[in-house]
Amino acid sequence: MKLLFFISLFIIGYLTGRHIELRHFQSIRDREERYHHIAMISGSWKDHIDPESDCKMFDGSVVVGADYFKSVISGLRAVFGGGMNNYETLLDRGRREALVRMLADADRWGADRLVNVRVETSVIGSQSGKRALPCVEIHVYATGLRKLRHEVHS
Amino acid sequence: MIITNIEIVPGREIVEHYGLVQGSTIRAKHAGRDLMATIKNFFGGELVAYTELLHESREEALSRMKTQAHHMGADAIVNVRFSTSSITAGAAEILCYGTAVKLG
Repeated sequence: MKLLFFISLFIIGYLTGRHIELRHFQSIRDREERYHHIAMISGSWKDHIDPESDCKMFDGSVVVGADYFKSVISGLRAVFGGGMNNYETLLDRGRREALVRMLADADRWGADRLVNVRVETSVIGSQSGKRALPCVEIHVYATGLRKLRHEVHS
Repeated sequence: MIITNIEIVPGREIVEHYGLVQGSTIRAKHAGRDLMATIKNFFGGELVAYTELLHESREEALSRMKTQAHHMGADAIVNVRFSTSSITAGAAEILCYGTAVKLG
């Protein structure tokens, strides 16, 4: 009975997790395309910063959790070693989602570039209870720049 | 209050440095959110309740930092950094810090 419960969780986790993941990746790709005109630069070199511009800080964050299937598979992986492909996709997904959220905010404000992009990943602790699943926050932030409109400049 | 995470404010000159300002919050997730997140977690993906919670705490930390800079008489904070660390299983501390400056 316990085994049956375990196996059904495993399968449900796999199927729905996979479905959600594929759909999410598609939506991320679509939105990344939309904000293609905003350049993201991970440094803050003076050459990239036009003195004739406005600046504002933007950020985006997302908390992602592993599904049951992924956590079981990685449990096995931890024994044999090797790349944890299933977690790689989870974090990649979270990171791109966070970036896209920041881009959407910056786009609304009218930014043409984001400089000094920083990405931070932190484990925020698993849930209380017996079946603790990993839970990770990804936070990205950057300074958005836009051309100064002269009528606004005082 | 201008906030940037680069060393300068484009097109403006920094005339005075007031030193480090910071803001932090520690938030715990409440039981209802925790329960929902646990259920959601079986299927993986984003945990919206936690995303919102951490977003709110970050806003709070930022506003505390701004208040501190405001009291110093600064009009911008440059080189802002964030850091998050989990204190116990149910709580996270969010810290942001930067340098308060006066612009010319």
